[in-house]
Amino acid sequence: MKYFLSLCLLGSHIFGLAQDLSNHVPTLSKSVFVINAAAIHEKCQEANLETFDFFKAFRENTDKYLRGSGVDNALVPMLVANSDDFGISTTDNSYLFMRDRDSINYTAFLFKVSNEEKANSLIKTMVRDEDGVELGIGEGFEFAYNDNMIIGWNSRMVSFFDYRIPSYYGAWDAVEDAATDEYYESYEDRYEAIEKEEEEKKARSILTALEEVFNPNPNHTISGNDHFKEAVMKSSDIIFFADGFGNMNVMNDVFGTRGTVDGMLSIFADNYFYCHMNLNDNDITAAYTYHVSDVFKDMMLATNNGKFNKNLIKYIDGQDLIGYLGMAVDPEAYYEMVMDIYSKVMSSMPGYGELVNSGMDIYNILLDEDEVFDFIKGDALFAVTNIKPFDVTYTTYEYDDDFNENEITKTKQELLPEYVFLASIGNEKLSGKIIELLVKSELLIQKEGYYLVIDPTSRYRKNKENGMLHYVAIENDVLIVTNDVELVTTYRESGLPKNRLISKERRTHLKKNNYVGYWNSDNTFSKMTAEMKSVGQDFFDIMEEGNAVIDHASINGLSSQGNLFSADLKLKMKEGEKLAITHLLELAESIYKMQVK
Amino acid sequence: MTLYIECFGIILAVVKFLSKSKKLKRNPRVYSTCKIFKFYLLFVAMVTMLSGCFDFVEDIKIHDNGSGEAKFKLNLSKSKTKIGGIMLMDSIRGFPVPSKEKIHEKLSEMKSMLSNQPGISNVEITENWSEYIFQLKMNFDHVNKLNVALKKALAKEDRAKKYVYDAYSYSNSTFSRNYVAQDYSEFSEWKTDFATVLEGAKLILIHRFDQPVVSQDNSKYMLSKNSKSVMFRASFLDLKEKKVTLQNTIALK
Repeated sequence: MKYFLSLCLLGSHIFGLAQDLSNHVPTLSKSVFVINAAAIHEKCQEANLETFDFFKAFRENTDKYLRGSGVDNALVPMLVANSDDFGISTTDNSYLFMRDRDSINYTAFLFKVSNEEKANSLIKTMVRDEDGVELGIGEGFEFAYNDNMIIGWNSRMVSFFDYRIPSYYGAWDAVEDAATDEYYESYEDRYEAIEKEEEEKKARSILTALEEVFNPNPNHTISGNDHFKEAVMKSSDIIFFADGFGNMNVMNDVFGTRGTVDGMLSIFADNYFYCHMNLNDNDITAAYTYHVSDVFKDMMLATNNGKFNKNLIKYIDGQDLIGYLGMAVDPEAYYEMVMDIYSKVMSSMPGYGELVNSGMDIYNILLDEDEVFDFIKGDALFAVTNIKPFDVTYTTYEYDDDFNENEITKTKQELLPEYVFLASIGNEKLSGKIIELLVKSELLIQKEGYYLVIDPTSRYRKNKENGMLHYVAIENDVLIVTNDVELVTTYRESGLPKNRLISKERRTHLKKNNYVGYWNSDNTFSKMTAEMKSVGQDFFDIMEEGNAVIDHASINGLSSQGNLFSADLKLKMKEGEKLAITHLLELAESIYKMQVK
Repeated sequence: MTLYIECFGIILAVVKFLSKSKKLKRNPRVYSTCKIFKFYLLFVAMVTMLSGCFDFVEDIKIHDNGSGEAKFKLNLSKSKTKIGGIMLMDSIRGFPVPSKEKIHEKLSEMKSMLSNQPGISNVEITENWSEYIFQLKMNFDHVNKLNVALKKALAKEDRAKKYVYDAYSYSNSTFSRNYVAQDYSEFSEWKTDFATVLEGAKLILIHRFDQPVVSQDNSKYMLSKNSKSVMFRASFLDLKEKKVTLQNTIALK
């Protein structure tokens, strides 16, 4: 009985896929977004989208917005947010995909029709009053196009395309034409003939794209792609999928006639990537999954086998932490993986692949790997720990009684970010040699237990310790580069006092992940002055609005399961009763009001 | 006409240009006209957008026969950390930030253009990229030649032309530093407070002579101890608000 039930479930799943529009998405699409219109629509309803001013304004000016927006710009969010109004099915997934053919490159948005009358009205809105719109009928669909956009539709589905005819398309025809050039009485005739030919070529390319979507070869759609099936197994508000082989195959189109790129294709053949994006109650998440081929699996696993050195944490001031970004890998495995990819990719390049390969072989022979990987331990972290006043020197001029000019240096305080870069290092002998070399080259000045970094452009100045000062120190097998003098003097040996260290939550974050990122919204904006913000006023205005709703952002990675490697990005909203989507819509509302003002 | 005019007048023009950049982008003809001087002075405009912490020094030595040496120095050192940050960006407020190479190229073009002007010699441009101090130095046969040379340097740009006039004259042991007060009302459209932009930006004029100064008609110009030099100091804001004038006629012994 359970086998029968399983069979029924499998059957219903396959039947579901067959009905789904994924069987109209070409399998060689560069990337595909699966938009769960039902989930998004429901969440918009919960957040009372209709009450927001920007939405009301959009509704009042629908015609203007629709005709002015490209598929890859604002059209998709507008259509998805208003699914009901435009007759877009809210029970079926919609698809946004990018496809590069040799005859046409396009981004298409494909959706199922739930209300034919409303969908027709939408199409009429977009086609109406547009200059240079060509109309046509294909097999089982109608279409319209102008220089920028194509619309194809039938009673079941509608697709909008942004398109571009590649400049190299038809280049060989042009060569052939030149050999069998016809005679024209005048330049005007010739120009007219060429223009007509170009138009015909464009129409053929457009029809090819439409045919590919509306009358696809069942064996050449994304619904038959096992990697894609895996990506859509788990439901999400939006799923992004990119197939490595599909993307790399484009290279074959480009280089195919000149040489082979099989080596390169083989390493990406089983690589694919997908991301599940969700608007949850209190946060917005993006979970990334990357599938690597067997060729890379072991290398990735070896690379991933890195941990952050506990000593690094001793030097991160957590009191006013703005954010950090870091990675911990096995450097030797990482190097081997990068070189392997590079070698395969470069050797596939027509013309100079052999030369590059030979160069890399020589480089590998000369590189003393034992020394290098004993020196670089593979974990590094960059943190911005505060925004505070720093002493900054500057040059100005004084004048004597006869107004003769004298150059002087003055000091002033400026609000600047305090940063620290930390990396584990070993091989004391080698690090000592490197430091000695830098001191000899006058790029570092030795102080008591630490070094002052000298800007190469100020080497010949009287006062080298001019401007913003940066320090280097090596202590507890940690390389410290910072602009916080206290860190390399008072706390260099002992590390920061416990009450100044990062929180337990952040320490766990670093302990459990080997690719990390963190950004604290409040600490960033509360410290910035109006003057700092004025550098990018519009940007900071928007970010400040963001600060009102975002608590923090974090990157966590990289976990692995077989050939799958995953990481996730989380945008945590401020605690409260509001849903994450409400916060997001409020942010959109604030930005809209800012622009209207 | 002086490089000061070029700087101050065009700073204002650029500021206006920035405030209207969206409109200009839609008009290819206007955009094309503006891009010539955009390169020269975007650098200065970027600083004005920040805080106005810069000094501009005009230092001119005039000999008895009207020849001399002119030095124009733009000192952005006080804003160097901010400029250093901006130089790492591709654009600021939607306006592209020129690279160090591009600025160097444009300054070299200016040097070559001035070198080819009759009566102008020994043109030198000094670029100090660690302190952001830039100096243009040249010798001139007569102040009239200096007027012409600087005028030609701006001749390509319609927008800049209206801020241009003959700033120097010299005859019969009388030197005049001329100044035509500009109408900056058009900059009121700019959404950032104009006063904030020019706050802290200083203008220093020094005029040196072989002979002692007998008299001058602008009390804002200080006389040196040896009586052979005069100096004017003011903020760009005072100049914009017409609280001071650069106009001065100096009679020499």
